[in-house]
Amino acid sequence: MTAPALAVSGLSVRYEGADQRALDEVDFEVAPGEILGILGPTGAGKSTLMQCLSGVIPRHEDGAGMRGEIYLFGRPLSEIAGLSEITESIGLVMQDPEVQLVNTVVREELVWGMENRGTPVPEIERRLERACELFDIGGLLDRFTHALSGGEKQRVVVASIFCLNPRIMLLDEPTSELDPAGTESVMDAIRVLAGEGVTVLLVEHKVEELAVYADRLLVLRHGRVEAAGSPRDVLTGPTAPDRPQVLDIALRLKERGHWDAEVPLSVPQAVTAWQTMANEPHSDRNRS
Amino acid sequence: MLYQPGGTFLHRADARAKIAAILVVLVLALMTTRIDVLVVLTAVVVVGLAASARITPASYAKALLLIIPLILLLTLLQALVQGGPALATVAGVSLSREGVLLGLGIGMRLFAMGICFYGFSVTTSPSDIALALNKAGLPYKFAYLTSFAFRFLPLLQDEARTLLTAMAVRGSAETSSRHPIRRGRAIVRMLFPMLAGSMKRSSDIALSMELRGYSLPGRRTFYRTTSFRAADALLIAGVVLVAAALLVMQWQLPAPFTEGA
Repeated sequence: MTAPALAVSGLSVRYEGADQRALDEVDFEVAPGEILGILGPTGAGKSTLMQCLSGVIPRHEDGAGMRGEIYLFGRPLSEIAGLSEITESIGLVMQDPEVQLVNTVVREELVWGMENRGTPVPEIERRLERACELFDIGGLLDRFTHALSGGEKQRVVVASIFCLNPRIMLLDEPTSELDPAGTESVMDAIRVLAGEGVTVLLVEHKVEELAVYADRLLVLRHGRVEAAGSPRDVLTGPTAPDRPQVLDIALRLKERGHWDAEVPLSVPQAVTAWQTMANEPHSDRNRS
Repeated sequence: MLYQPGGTFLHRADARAKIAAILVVLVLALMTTRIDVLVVLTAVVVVGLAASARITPASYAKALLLIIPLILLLTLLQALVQGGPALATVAGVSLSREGVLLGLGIGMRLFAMGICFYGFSVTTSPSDIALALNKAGLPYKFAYLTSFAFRFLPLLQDEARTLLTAMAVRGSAETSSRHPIRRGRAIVRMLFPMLAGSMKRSSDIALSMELRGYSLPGRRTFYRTTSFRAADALLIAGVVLVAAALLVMQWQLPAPFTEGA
């Protein structure tokens, strides 16, 4: 049996001086190639969870006490000494792109991590080309990093982590500064990567995107796992922190007896469902 | 002062050749206080940058204007402390002729070096500087820091601008005042949040660098390459030739503005 890409067992974190735990007995597993969307209100512990999974806590955060264990492809993360060794398998994209751009020109930014790892130049060129294609940043290669827009910076940061060829990508709100087209482009790239076996954990407030792209969702509240399951199960359940607008409308119509079909998670699903219902002569919607 | 990509002779020159050329100019400027030699050196640098990198004096004039008050202060101090015949007497205080010439000489030295550094930084990619220093024997981790500094200069500028704007929209007249003391007060007020922001950011940046293997031991590859061409040797030879000519001028020609000259 294949070991999960990541397995979290009894994970708890308390920051120095804090009354409550930032994470409280969190358990879950993620399979290789799976996209796990992580939802929750502000302060739910999403970013703390990402930092634990990437080894930043406890290695880089002195003020955070951590209990429990994280397994990386079956190997306890606590057995891996350095952050650099963990990052050979895990790539973390943090919330603020500004602090992650450490070179003056985009091309240099993309190749810098690969150079640090001693990646051969032909391989660097191959990955650079692939990153440009996946994240649509070919036109930005010779631009200054400080002169990019917020959305462009985010795409470059995600691409620079992709270039490191991680087996697991942890993305903390990677599309927060992107417009709808940019968001779709990044999410499409994530789906392609997952198809190639890369495991993706995605903290995101854009629930419309998670509903469509994630294989499973995990809802955190007050540091605890409140719900976990397929997007349909979680978003139609009572503990969903937020819902796609189209799902919300369909659920309300269903309550009033105006929606017979399965509730949609996205606009294309809603259109298909609507067409199906329109073709059914005896539906409640046609009668009313 | 930030790198501006281009295809001029100086842009294409190897960073090591440019560093060597700068060092020659630097040593020459520091070896003399003779104003005529320094004026010629500055003129050569100005013409050289215009010819080899299409950098016109207009592009750095503003930065030079900023150091004029410093030069005037230096000249005044030298005029007061140096001995010799007086150039003028103001309210009973003699201003030494030697001191004025020395102060102006130091000013010209600053001009020549400043223009040289400007030309270097706008024509050399920060990565090329890091690569050149690394090739010259400096460990990459230290060489990279030069490139890193260039990356975060605009970030600090942006942050300062944001803080000044935030103060202005909340009714602070100090931020737009032309009065140097009031304006200075606004800058002092801005320093603490800037410092706090920088401290917070530096920790995140260090983490981000570590996550991308900055501290990994072992061999590093270099995507960019650098090669020392004949044109680079020509650049160094040209600068050395100019330096030699100016040294001859210094030793063979009598200094102007001196008694009996």
